[in-house]
Amino acid sequence: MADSIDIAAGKTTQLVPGRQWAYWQVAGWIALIIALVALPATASGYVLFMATLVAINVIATVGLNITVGYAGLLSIGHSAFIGVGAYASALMAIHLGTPLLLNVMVGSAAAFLVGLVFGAPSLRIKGVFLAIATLAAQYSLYFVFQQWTPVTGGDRGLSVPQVDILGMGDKGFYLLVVAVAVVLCIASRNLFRTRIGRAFIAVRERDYAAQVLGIDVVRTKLLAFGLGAAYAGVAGGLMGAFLRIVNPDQFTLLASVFFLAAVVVGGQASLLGSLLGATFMTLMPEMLRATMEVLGPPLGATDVAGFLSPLREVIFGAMIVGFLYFEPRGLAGLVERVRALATRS
Amino acid sequence: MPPLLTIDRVSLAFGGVNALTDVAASVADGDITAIIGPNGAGKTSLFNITSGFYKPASGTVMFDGKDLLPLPAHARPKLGIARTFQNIALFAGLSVLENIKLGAHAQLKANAGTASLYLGPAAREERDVTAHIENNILGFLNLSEIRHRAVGGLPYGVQKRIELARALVMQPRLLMLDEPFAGMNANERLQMATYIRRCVTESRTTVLLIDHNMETVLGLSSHVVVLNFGKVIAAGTPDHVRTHSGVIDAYLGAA
Repeated sequence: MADSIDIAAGKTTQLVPGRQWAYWQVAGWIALIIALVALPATASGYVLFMATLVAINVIATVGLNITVGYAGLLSIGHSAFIGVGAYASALMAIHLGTPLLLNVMVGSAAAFLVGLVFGAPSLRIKGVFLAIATLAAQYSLYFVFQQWTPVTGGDRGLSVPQVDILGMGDKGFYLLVVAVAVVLCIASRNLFRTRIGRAFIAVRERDYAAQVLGIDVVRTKLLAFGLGAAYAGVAGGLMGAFLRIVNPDQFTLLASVFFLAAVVVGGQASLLGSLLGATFMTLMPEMLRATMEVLGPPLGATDVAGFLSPLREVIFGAMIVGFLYFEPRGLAGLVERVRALATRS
Repeated sequence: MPPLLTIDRVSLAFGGVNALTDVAASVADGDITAIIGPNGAGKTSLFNITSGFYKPASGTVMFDGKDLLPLPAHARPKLGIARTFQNIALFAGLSVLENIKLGAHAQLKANAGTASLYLGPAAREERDVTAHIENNILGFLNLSEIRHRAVGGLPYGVQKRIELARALVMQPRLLMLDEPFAGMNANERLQMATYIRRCVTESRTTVLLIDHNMETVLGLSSHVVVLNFGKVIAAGTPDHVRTHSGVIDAYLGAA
């Protein structure tokens, strides 16, 4: 018995570098927020557009990571929940003319409720089978978006009135989205400091042991689904107001796979992972395009645009498989490795 | 004083196999009761009924005067019932401290709203439970040094202690330990027995434990129930059980 304690104690000597790392971490987050707030002062319209898109995708990815990463409930219907938020919020803006934040909250609440309904299969099935059940959410909600023409505008969708935040135009919208993203990231982090977040992880790892600790597995799974969908709803409401259009093509299976890829590539059950994954997945096509525009012509590929779209999907697929195989903890896992190397030396 | 836990004429079958037949046992308040018996005797099945994983075909299980059987598994810890598992059931992805904190889940009150704000009551209860664990649990079970480590790579004996710690956080009235001595050497067994005895004397916890190692258990408990092939073949004081002919037969395999 005494031996085992000594072994354990020997490995805790890295506690001090760990604390230094914690300070670096806080400093890093503060620097990031300052950079985000300062960005509009210098950035071009294009950069601002991409930055806003990244922030919206971060919100959706943080949500999906709660469901998939922390609670272990595989969902490939996430974009449908984004759609619920987008339509609900757009309809409020069009018919009631209510302020954006209220619309987004209503959109989030609508997505939460729809998420609870489609989360119900998770009570009985797990893993791949659950993923297939969430396809039902994807397809049935897409069907509603597309066919309920009097309300959703069918294939043509809804055109959303412009919002001007504090008379600052695109910059104001960007700052609002960043503020919402920061608040929701902090909220998700807080969740995992308490019994609620611990219960998600407990249910993911051993549901029988969770029960004898007093965790209601049914409620916990539904909550994980609902919360993930609520984050998606916020992202949807902001997305609609940002792009000023909401139509079914934004909420396809491919879009759901995009967010799942963001979670896997970024790092499951990690806030940093959600941030890195969403940023990487949003910017990757752009980086790819830039690279191809430089490399393409010398290599004899004149039709860069035609080449790009299939290449993008090949790279998406390769990234997911590559990360699952070589680093299941994703980009956040790579960061963790670098940290371990840095603190060891 | 009435028994804390009363199991009465409980029968359980899996398909055609009778796992338990008319089992009756009672656990006296403030004592250590042991269930012993050879492998497959139905000891863990009895635990799983008490935890709420299995529903018996017949019989009753009363805890402190309340009928346990209609309650779902997750509602039972609130009454003060905690347990450990034969194959350690810790959460590998969480640190030692977080694993132990999970033991307090039923007593904490934060909901998704207050938890995501992490202000006021949610933050306070989290601080309180951390302080409770640091002051009363970690030192007691010699876990202070490793509180921030992931449980995944820790030695077996340490994991057993962490699981005990997790069960103790809620200050249970009934602590059910499924083979707390399994896979331990003599030294570790002695240490674990000391921890268990101290739970009873210092925290007035009632302990119900399973083992198939007669010697450790007979020295520790004041009441012993012997199961074989799903039936109670003897019950009483350690001395009574030790000399009971049916028990000797079951353990030595005599016909």
